[in-house]
Order: sequence, then structure tokens, then C-alpha cells
Amino acid sequence: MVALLSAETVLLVLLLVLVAGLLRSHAEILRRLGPPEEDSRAADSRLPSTAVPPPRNGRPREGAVAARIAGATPEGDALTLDFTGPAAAPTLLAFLTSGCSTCMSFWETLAERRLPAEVRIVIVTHGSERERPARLRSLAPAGVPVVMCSAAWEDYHVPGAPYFILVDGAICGEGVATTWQALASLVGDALEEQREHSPRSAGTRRGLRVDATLASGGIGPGHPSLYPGRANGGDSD
Amino acid sequence: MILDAHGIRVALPAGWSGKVFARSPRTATLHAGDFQLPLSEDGEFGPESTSEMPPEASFLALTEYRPGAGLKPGNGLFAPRGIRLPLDPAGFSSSGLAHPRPGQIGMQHFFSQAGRAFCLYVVIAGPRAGRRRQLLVLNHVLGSLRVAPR
Repeated sequence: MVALLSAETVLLVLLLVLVAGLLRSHAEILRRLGPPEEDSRAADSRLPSTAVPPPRNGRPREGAVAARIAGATPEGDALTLDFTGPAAAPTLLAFLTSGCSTCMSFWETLAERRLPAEVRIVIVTHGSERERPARLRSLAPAGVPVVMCSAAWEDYHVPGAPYFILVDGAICGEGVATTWQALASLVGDALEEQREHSPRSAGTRRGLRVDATLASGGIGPGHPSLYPGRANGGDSD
Repeated sequence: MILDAHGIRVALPAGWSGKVFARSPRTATLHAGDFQLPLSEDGEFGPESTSEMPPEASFLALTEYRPGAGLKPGNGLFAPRGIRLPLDPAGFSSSGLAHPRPGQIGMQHFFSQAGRAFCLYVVIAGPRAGRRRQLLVLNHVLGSLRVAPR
């Protein structure tokens, strides 16, 4: 009888631990998912301009978490960009308008890829309340996505066009650039500074990702497939 | 964050990126993932996106098929109505991948909704231990999916 009671007690304790673990796991998942859709929309409308702190005394906000960008494209597609997730490369947000004459040279040449190949480029314009999609379609450079999102201009406190922000999870550089030379300098300086301050630069992260992918396939350091020249002990003395 | 275009609407949680695009007037495709999707043009089943998936990540593609030439929403391959949630973990395997890659498993489900024919393609990357959590998030995202008739 005592043994039975003891066994039941142990089982009960184990069950309680299991339930507590499940509840905790469930709570963690709910926390990561965020509020329900309706609440999320309400929160989005309440907090349009607090995602990124404004620049202080005109100085860039390096390190500030990059705000999400969501909007329609001039073609009528929809695009949501979240910069907090893992990424292979930094992203340059080019805030342009269809009306500013200085922007025109960037509209015409952003597809030429004059920046380091690792940098992805997205053009961010105002929404359809201020821009005509047809006009943007005629300006959009081939291969460079355009997203119409006035909220992003507010979220990032963009002072005017053309304005550029380099994001890699966080803001790593920003400023006005009216020429390609100025833009290349802005991006180059930001990348250089990021490499100096972050041991996990994009290149390092790519390397780690490649390592992890190989490891998931059972290929680790010293694996024979990494040394195709060493066939059947051919490298022995 | 709501993604809404071409009659496809979905809510994406924090950390997710996505796009809804149409290459032709009568077909739309949704791509979403919990990582930064490539900005370059991608195929319907996301070969670029899945090639850039981090070691532990989730990706889904919902691609629409144009009716005609024998293809009729609600019939044949597209007879199932909607997506049955939660997704069946046993339905995932490396043979379900459109573009097989080490460390990834996938599933495909053909169905019809709102008079439109679709294929849902889901890819999960990462160790088995994390899949339960990944599936819960995927179920949450797919639960928010709404399709409007053409």
C-alpha cells in the first residue's frame, strides 16, 4: 500500500513537472508570436514613429534597432521587411521621391551596383497618398525593389530625400548623399566601422552559416569530402 | 504586420519578412519566412529564399495555379478545401522539398480556397528538437491566412 502511494506520488510530481514545462513552453511561444492580429494592428497604428529614436544633433543613430518596413510596391505587390531576423547581408534603404531632382540620378543608376556586392538595396518612397505608382513604375530601376511606405519615413525620422540608411539588424550608418561618391563613402565607412566593432560581421556570419549547413549534413572539420585531393591515403609519406 | 495583396492576406509575427507578388494577372504567390528573404526576384517555390535559409528557420510559399487546360479549382489534385491545421509533422520529409538541401525538410499541399487553386509549400531547416516550436509558429501564421475570391 505504501509502495503504491509512493509510486502515485512520484507519478503525480512527474506529471506536474511535465505540465509546468508545457505551460512554460507555450507561454514562450505566445510571447514570441506577439499580440493577436487585431491587437497588433492597433499597436501598429498607435506607435508609428517610435520604432527608431530620432537622430541627436544631426548625428547618425548607429546601433538603434532597425524598424520594420511594410507597404505596397508600385506594381501592386506587398512587401514586409523585418531586419531583426538573420540575414546574409546588410541592406541599404534609399529614401527617394519621384519629384526631387537630386534623387533622379539615383533612380537612374541604383541598378548599376556601384556599392559592395554584399549590400542589398531597397528604395523606400512615400505611400500612394503622396506618390503615383505609375510614375514610380517608370522610374524603378531593374532588380531593385521599391516599397511605398510613408510610415517608414516617420519611423526612421527621415529629414528629406535623398536619404540613405544602412541596416544590418541595427542601423549601422545613415546620412544625406547627393552623389555616388558621397553614398559610396557613407556605405564604406559604415561597413568598415561595423567590421571593426563587430566580431560577427556579415562575412563572419556567412562563414558560420556555411559551417552550420555543412555540419547539418554531417560534414565537419577534417571531413574527407573537404579534401578531394587526398585520395585513399595519397598524402601519406 | 499584415501582408495584403492580390486577394491574399496574412499576418506575420515579429522577425518575419514576406511578400505577395503576381507575375501574371491571374496568379499570385506569397513568400514568408522568419529570416530576411532575398530581395532579388525569386521563383514561385522560393529556390533563392530556401538557399539562403539560416541553419534554423522556416519558410512558406503559397503559389496560385491558373485555371484552364484541365485545371479546375476544387477538382483532381486541387480537390482538398483549404489548409488543414495544424500541419502534420509526419508530412515533412526531405522528399517533400522542391529543391533538396541538407538540413531541410518540406511538405507540399495542393488545395482550393475561394475558388482559387493553390499549392502550399513549407520548408523547415534545423534540428528535430526545434521543429515543434517552428510548426507552432507556422500554424499561427497559416491560421491568419485569408484568401479572397477573384
